Amino acid sequence: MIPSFKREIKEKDQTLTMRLLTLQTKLIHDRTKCAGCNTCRIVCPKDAITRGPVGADKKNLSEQAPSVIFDVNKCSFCGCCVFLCPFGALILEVDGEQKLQLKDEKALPDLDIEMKKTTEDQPIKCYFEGKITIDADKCIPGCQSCTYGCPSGAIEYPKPEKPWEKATRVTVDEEKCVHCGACVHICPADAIILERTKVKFKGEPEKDYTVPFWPDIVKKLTTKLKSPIV
Amino acid sequence: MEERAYIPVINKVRCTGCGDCTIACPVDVQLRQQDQPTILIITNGKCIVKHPEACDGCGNCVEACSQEAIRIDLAEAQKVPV
Repeated sequence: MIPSFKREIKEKDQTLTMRLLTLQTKLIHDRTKCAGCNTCRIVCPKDAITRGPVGADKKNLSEQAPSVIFDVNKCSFCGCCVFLCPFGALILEVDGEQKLQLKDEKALPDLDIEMKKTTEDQPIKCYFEGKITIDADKCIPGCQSCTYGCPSGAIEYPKPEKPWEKATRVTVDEEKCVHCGACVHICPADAIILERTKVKFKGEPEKDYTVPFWPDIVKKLTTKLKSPIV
Repeated sequence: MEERAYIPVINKVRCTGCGDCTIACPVDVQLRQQDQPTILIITNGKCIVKHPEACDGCGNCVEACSQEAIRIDLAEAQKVPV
């Protein structure tokens, strides 16, 4: 029997549904929690996720096109995106119950998480170490998209000395930064590069996680992230 | 340049060809400085989306348009029959 697939995009969420006889699996993307970081797109083993208009979506100007667009025909409902989303914006439900089979079967280890907060007091799972670089030559004076888009409020736009001037440099507070990469995708000048040097997790290979599945995901996450994506 | 999964769409009836969208577009600002064709072009009194592949999806055009004549939508390829 062939399962039936459906994708629904609404103002507050994007839902992928797979039905086979009585079994129903749902991947729910909560657009209100999504920061547009695209971590899900980077780790997806099926390349089923595409980057959407992050900047417009964060300003609530893109009802039909979310920050990340899921292709229901490619999605295998594995749950990697759910497990790694720093903002808890994704849920996988099998027959109404939240379930992550890959975690149960030890394909994914426990992450070493430090909790941080968004500007709206929502939790962020911070499990990266890394660095953001902003190219001041490319940065558009006065744009400030990154300051609005950063979920933890780590990027600040300094007030220029004279009222008619526009600053070309923004500052990044490394303490608040969770290295999610939302800024990379929001910057219209492609001026931001994110280098994640480490993915923090616990456990030993084969014992606590499957090789090569997890190391491949770590490799994707620690690849330099910049725009435009190719 | 990669194919975008989203595209700005212009309502031709509402559009007055004022050009606020292409002025607000940060990509167009840079393209004009480099003497290159812009994403949004005013032709025959209306705005058209000439180079959607360069669109960054920032939404500035949507905000700038006083007639609410432009919106961001999924690209046709993304609207898979479901």
